[in-house]
Amino acid sequence: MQSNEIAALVNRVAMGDRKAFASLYNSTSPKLFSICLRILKDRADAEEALQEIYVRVWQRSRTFAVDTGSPLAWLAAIARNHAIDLLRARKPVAEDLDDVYDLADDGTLDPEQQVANADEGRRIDRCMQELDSVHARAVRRAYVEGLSYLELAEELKVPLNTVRTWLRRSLLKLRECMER
Amino acid sequence: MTSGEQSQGRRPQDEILAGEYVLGVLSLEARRAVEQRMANDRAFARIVERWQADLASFNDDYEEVAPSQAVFGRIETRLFGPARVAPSTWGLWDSALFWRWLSLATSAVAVVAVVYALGVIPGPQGSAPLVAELSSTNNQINLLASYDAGNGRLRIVPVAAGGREEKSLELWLVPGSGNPRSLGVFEPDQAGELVIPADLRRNMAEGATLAVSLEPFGGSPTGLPTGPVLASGAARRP
Repeated sequence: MQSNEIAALVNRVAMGDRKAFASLYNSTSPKLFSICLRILKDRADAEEALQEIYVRVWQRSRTFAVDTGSPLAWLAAIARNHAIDLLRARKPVAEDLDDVYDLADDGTLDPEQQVANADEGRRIDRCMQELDSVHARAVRRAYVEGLSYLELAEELKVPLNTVRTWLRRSLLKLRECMER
Repeated sequence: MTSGEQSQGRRPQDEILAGEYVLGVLSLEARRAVEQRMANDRAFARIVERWQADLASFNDDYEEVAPSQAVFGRIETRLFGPARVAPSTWGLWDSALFWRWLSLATSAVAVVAVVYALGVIPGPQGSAPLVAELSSTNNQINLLASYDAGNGRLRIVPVAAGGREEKSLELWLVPGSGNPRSLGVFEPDQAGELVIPADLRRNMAEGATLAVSLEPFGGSPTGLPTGPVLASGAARRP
């Protein structure tokens, strides 16, 4: 289904159209279910999560606006956020926000460059290629599987702080590349 | 992280934190803290949204898997109850907690958005109308609400939308199935009144579902709502 058709369905759902909700579910639930399965790795948990996700889609549909981005990205974000929350609640990770971001230079990025383009999703692919391939894989796995820093460290057999530094540096490099 | 602070420009720390949130590597507590900050700091929320859009192409890695047939039924039960009853009226107006509900009162020629504010607008005090400008952290739109204590009527009109450009409120008739039909765009100087096109007036009956969406100035360019949808509800006699 085309992006604009999904967007139209979301907006009809926002107006309380239950038929549109069923169509939206039929066309998008295989993708969102895949997200749940990949992150939660348990079919029963994933189906439970999917229910909650579509309840939220119904409730939040009125906040969706065509000009803020792709409807599928919007739906996927709702699904990923919920699945990751469940995963973190299931297996808490010790991790604090206050640790030092001792990375690179500390300059302020230029707010003038804050331009969000629809094609940035594609630009990210090019920017990912500029990263060290091991780092790029770590970034992608963290996203797709919802791995914590600790899990990434175990999977990649490197110290926790190393993997954290990789990811943080990668994020800054990606942002810098996207703005070039 | 200092909560509640407003981002002045963008600091690398904010870019990293927002990126970590979208990647999903943070702890549950840290995720809640980020969401709290997004609610209070629009500039930071935009950084998160941008990462979300940027990294969305990674979603290609999720290959579609069909869930069990039973799941949708359970979702419908959770949302609409076990029986096939008419959809309940929405809890309206996410962003402004003031509003308990909104009903769209209809007459042959005009629709006036009438909002009943429960316990928020003080009772009659003097003759001057009460006026409130409503805004939210999302800043998609500001609304001017004016309350006439004489007849208990409260009108809402959009005022300069926060930020980028002026927006319009568009009223839609939502049929049982198929696309919504535009009933018109609220003009800023018409005090919330709208003249319904003659050929659509017969649809303006009790039970008709009406909705208001925020659209580019002048109304939706596509003929279909582009959202966000601000309110919807079934019309009835007040």
